[in-house]
Amino acid sequence: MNIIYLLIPLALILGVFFVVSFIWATSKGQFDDLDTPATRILFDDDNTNIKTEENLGDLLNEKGKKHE
Amino acid sequence: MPKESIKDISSKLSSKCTHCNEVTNNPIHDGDVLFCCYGCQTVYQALKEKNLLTYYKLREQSGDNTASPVPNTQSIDFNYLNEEKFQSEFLKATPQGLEAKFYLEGIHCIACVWLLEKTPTFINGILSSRVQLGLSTVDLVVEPGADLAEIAQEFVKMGYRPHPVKSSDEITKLQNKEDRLKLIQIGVAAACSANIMLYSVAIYAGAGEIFSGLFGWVSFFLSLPILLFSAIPFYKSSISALKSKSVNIDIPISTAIIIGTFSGLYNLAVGSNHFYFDSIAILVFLLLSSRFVVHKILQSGLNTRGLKSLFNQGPVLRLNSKTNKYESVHSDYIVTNDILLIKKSQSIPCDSIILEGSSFINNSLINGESRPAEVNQGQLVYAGALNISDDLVIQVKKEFAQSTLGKIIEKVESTAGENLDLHSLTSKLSKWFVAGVFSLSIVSFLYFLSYFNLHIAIERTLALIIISCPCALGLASPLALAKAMNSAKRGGIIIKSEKSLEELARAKEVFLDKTGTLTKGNFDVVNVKVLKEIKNINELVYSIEKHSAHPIAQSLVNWSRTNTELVVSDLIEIAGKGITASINEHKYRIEKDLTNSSTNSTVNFFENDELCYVFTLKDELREDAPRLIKFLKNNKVTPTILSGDNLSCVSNIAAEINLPRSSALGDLSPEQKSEIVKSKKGTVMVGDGANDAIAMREAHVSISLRGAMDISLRASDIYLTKNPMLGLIELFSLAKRTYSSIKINLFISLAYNVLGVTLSLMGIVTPLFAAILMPISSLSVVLATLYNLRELKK
Repeated sequence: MNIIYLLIPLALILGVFFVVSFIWATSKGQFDDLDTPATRILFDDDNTNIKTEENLGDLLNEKGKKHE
Repeated sequence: MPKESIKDISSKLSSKCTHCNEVTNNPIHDGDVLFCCYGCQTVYQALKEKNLLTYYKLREQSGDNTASPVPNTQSIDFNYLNEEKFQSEFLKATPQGLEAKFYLEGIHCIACVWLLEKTPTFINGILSSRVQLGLSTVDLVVEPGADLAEIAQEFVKMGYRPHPVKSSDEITKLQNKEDRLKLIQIGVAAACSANIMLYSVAIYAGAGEIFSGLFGWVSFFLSLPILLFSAIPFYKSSISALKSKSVNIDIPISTAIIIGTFSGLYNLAVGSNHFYFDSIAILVFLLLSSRFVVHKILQSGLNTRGLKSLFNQGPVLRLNSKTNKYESVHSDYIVTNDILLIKKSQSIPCDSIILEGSSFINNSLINGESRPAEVNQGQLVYAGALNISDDLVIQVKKEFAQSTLGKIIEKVESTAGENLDLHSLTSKLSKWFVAGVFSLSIVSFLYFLSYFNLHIAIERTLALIIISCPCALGLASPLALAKAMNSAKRGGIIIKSEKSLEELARAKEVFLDKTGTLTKGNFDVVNVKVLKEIKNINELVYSIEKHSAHPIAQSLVNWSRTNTELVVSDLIEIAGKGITASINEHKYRIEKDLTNSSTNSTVNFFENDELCYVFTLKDELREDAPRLIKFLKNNKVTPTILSGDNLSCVSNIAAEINLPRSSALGDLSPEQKSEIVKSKKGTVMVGDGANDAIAMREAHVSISLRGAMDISLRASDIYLTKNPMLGLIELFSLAKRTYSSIKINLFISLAYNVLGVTLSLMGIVTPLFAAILMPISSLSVVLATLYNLRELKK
């Protein structure tokens, strides 16, 4: 069971790393807006340079049909 | 009177508007789609033109298939957005371009986000656009030198009304900082408590025999960040409560945190394995999270501080003495003696004197008078009055801050935030609770000291303090409130302070304003009698009444719903009586019937001196008003009308909704309204005008409606954005349910505490026991909340 003396510090270092990353992300403002990103994921077109409204409409139609 | 064939034109099948989904009795047909007004039609056309009809599909999927009916903003002049003075204050130059932030009235769902974030593809000058749904704001990056006025107009065409927000706003920055700190505290608490749990479970499972010391120390070090960082909010609020010589729920929580950690440390030092680290850590994490959720929901409502920069007046036209032309300026920059041109349907920005023109103005904001008053050259007009009929040239006599309206706003703002949370059930309970636990622990310590020994006395007293920690008590109300507020928000009810729900549930008296609250606040054609049918009646009415400035004429123009103008000759308007004109060799006369009651106005339409149509116009009662009054009475709440309007109007309305005369008060000044509200207990004030704002401050809960003036928006605790009457019914029943859920939660947590205290006095409570009982008590509160509020909209 001596291995536990090595594993505990390792686990803690890993934990600290994640906490620090979280703090960094938060202070960068990545969690300022908690509502909108959840809705953005639903839009299919990410390339705004191409006019894709029609395709988008079709895609959404298909999706709607699947739901029905 | 001859027997007439009565045919009611307005009773066509009611249908839903394609754009805003509101029911309309009088739809505009455009091909196979219907609209309730030209505003909605314009938006639909604009989207169709740009190939953006996907908006409607997305909206349908979002489950919230509505849009706010489009405000009539065609007359807004956004040129002030291009002024240097304004731009230096509101825009921020970055390497990418100019950053501008707008608050957009009308953002409400996924489809809005989609539409607004696509703007760079179809509006010139926008480089990128990001929406914050929770705050209804959009952050734009525009090309340097872009025409912001043009961009703002484009937003209006899509049905949103932009208000510029100062991007360098100190308040916003501070708020962001606070929120991030809260989130970091939660994150740290979550990470540490989860790790402590691992070691504690190992200890309880039997590893304690071998590794008790090691695991104990690791748990202790892991609990330090929670004790020294995450729990700071509890200490702060305890200290401020003690300073103001009151007691709140955070005091016992802080005590438990500190005592639990130190007793664990003491046990570590003496080598026993009685640690409470895990219970304490989980407690902090749960409480912080539940409070954060409530905070976020509150924030997404309109906060009072933010309103100041959001809802200041729009632009006005000011005479530039050098060029002798009118230029659009932001109303913040108006000074005394400026000469302004106030267009039809603009409101007067400052107390001024009329230099040229005469018009009808609506003063309901100041004095609650619903009927427009005529003003002429040389008369004074007050800030907040709405110019209805004709352009006016006015000279500013007082700056806004000195005007009646400005003073009311100041009064409202200065008293905002004075309402401390001293009456809520939780804080009342916490007082007793704290007193009880402290006296109990002292008694038990002395008892065990005299009958047993010091070690047992310390151990049992510590166990008592930790086990009675009001974890569930602290969770009881935030959870129920969070759920209720979320459900309210979906129903278009924005709650600005969480205490309002509890207050609403206890309300005894509801005071309702009349104009614009119980009624729709504008004249509508409610009935049309046809004595002789004329084919092109709509065009005739439109063409003739278009030339009159009278509000009733304007209502008839709205009713006629056409843009076809016929050639009119010999037009004569007789003030206060009517209008005569000739079209196509026929003589027409439209005149007011002066012989009827005060709430309705009757207008007769003659063709060649033959009476053909009789229009009845009225400031119509909202259709669900009687339902609301009935609902209130059933719930043992007394409704009363408080209005600044004349008594006969008020009595008529009261009769329509089955209220006795005694509970319909008219002719009241804003001060009298607030006196009446002040004299009662458990009051709710519902209103929409500045004349209600002071009364709103006096009421325990104040509610304002959609379309309310900015001032009452700021004064109110709750803001209804959708159907106000049904919204109020929903709000009251929601409040009642939430309140009873809170009561049940408090009862559960007290029951647990009684149990825990009894067991700890018997010496049964061990850390393992605490580690099981405390989460179970919190969990049962969560489950009870979910169960009691299960019918609320998801």
